[in-house]
Amino acid sequence: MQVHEKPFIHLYRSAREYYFYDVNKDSIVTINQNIYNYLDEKINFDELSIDDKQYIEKLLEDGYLSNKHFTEIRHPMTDKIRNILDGHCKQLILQVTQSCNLICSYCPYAAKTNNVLQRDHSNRSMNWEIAKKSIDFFAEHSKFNQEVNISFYGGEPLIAFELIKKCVAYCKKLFLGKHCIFNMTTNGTLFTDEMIAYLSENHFEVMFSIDGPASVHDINRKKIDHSGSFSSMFNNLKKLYSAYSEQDRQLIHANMVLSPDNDLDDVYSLFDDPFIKETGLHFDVVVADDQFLTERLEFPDEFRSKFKYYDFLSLISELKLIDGLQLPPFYKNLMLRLKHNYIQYKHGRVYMPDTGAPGGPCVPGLNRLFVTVTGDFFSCERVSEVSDCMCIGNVNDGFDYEKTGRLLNVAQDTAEKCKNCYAIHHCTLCQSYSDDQGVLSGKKRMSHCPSSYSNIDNEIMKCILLKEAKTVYSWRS
Amino acid sequence: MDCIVYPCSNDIMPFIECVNSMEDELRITKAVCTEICKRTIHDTYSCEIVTDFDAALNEVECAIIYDYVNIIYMYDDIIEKLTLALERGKCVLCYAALNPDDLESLKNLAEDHDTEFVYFGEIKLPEITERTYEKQECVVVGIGKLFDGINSDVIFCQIFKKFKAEGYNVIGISTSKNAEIMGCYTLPSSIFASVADESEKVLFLNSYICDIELRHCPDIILLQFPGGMSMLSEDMGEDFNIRSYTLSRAVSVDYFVLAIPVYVSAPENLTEYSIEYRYKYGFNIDAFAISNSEIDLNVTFVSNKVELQSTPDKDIESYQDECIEKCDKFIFCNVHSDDDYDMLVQNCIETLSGNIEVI
Repeated sequence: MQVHEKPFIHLYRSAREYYFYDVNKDSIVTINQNIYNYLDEKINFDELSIDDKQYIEKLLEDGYLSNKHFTEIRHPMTDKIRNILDGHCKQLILQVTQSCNLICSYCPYAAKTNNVLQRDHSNRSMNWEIAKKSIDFFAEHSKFNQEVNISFYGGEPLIAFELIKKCVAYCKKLFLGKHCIFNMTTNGTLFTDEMIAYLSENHFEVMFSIDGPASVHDINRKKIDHSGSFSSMFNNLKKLYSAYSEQDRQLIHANMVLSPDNDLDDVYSLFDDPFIKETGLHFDVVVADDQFLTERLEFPDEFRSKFKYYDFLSLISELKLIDGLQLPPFYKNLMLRLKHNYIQYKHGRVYMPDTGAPGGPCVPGLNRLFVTVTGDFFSCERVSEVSDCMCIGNVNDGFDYEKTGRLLNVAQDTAEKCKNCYAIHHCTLCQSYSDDQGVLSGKKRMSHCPSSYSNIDNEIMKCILLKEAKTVYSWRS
Repeated sequence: MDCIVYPCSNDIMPFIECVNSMEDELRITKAVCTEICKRTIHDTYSCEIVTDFDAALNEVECAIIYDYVNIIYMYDDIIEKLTLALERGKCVLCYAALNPDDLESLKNLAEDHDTEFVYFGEIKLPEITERTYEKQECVVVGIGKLFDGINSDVIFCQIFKKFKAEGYNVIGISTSKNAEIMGCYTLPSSIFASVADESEKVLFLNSYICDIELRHCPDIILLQFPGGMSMLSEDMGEDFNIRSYTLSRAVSVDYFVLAIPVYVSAPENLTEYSIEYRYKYGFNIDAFAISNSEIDLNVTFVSNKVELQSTPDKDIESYQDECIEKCDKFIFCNVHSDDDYDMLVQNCIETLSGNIEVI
């Protein structure tokens, strides 16, 4: 039995083997070179051996190589969005202030964008009336959850410490009987002893922004007077860590932003610091985002090479091919994620329904409800606050369900392209990638498609490498 | 005796309903909940839902402090309420676990105010001297849930109530301490966390159940299974179904009701669960109780843990209709339908009455 119609697959090859990613089954299948060439339309079915033909027959019998595509792009939560937002919201993020005492070079708020792409830092802070209304709204719209998250975001949230205290006291009363988790993201420079005692007493999850050792951190994370912020941040981190109980210390995390002007070896030397080593502080690492910057960030080849090299080191370390490699601890998490993906691609899915949507867009407001100082709602803190199309309501009128529905189905603007895209299940383009200065645009969304392809191709190639390291390279003892 | 309960939530409503439906000396007239919780509680229950504990307390003789899933986050508030009730000379039944120091001071406070303070919060394993494996003589009706997070308490309470109403001597063994107020036993769940050998745990549970049977000579033991009984995928089991498996080794289940979320599977595929349970646990599934929850696939696959979200009641009806139409092997029950429980209990009686009695 030959493949009559063009199957919905994407071909991959490594140095040693050949594969296809089957979109319908969401899994990666190993094939030989002949079948690869046949699927690549380089040879005819008749040119295949009997064994190859039988293998193709088996694949077809098992549901692989189907040419089924979504007939309609429609997010599965479309009909349920009102019901879900009515009582299942999970996290409220209050922008307690737009003010910040630092001027980080890659910060979209600190950049002079003339308010076209993102707001600039300002002295505006949230008032109690808006904060209270936001919390009340969130209480009503999270009523079915046993656990609620209240986050304080800025600018630098500690600038509005008094408001934070008032919000926490109110939440404790209002959410009595629920697991109420408080957290904040901070540059770590403004802590006082009173703040430290308060955060410890209220079991705050605190995320510090740390870009590396002082020599790296201070390049981008500068105070208004252009002096570096590492020293004060690091001292405060240590103080906070000491103030927290042993059990609560896991609530302190760090976020590391890798920017083009950093040397990765220098960045990672932070993990040689005795305090970081001893505490095993949990780090999340992200690459600096230029989505809201007027000038694109260019990552030099050296940066990219080192980035890949560390990936490679983490893989061979995880596979126990070399003992004693010292890598930043977050690579362990990246490897766990890779293994999780690997298993997912191995198991795949039983079938693909007739309607569906690309993987990127979230249900706006469900996992994160971001409220600005003026009481406007956004689906998270990372979208443009000056964009009308990203705003999903406000504290006075509540959710704008027309907009949440529109944002949920933002991929309908690119429906034909999405239906035929092999990356559809693993697409990383959230709603904000459609934001063309306040208007949702399919063209804008599609301009980001290459990065989405690149993500899935990288992910699949890593899974293939993981598979081959276990099977093909059998020289291992 | 008129009572109030605190803290009230949808989770404990089935127990309140059950207590009030039985002609018992306790009558729960008011259920006190937090302001936020009141927004989620349906008002179709047999007692008034209020938020003012202080005012409600004045109208009753007894306060019942229930065990609540998030009790840890309102512990200070619970102590405050207990103190207030005892200071006012009210009888207190406490199912929530308290710190030893607080317990001691509350006992003293009860003595000072010449009132009764009955504490059920202590979790200790019953002492069982003889551990030999015995098969239960009476009928055992099992109630389980497909995944952790589905609430099977309402099914337990409804079936318990219906069997009682039919005149059977039924003894309940529940996973919730709150069922003790209905005269039920609590499954000694701490055995699962003990370091005992697995076979020891089975023998212990078997002895525990047989001991209850010996004491009460019931017609029926209604047994609630702990944790989820199936796994959505092989790495997505809260306890990998170990607890339910261990319990299944300790007991012979004659009729089994499984709580499932809506749209969990195509109706024609539900038979596969029954086959799975036959081989895994040693009994078939006789009835499915459809709950108003649905798997949140988006969150589930990100968090690698089965996450459920509530759905409107109309979804239960629609799934139930579909199941009845396409699968006639099982009873399908809407967890919120009183009539459906009548049907389920009748089916159970008919099914088990057909069994041959050897002795």
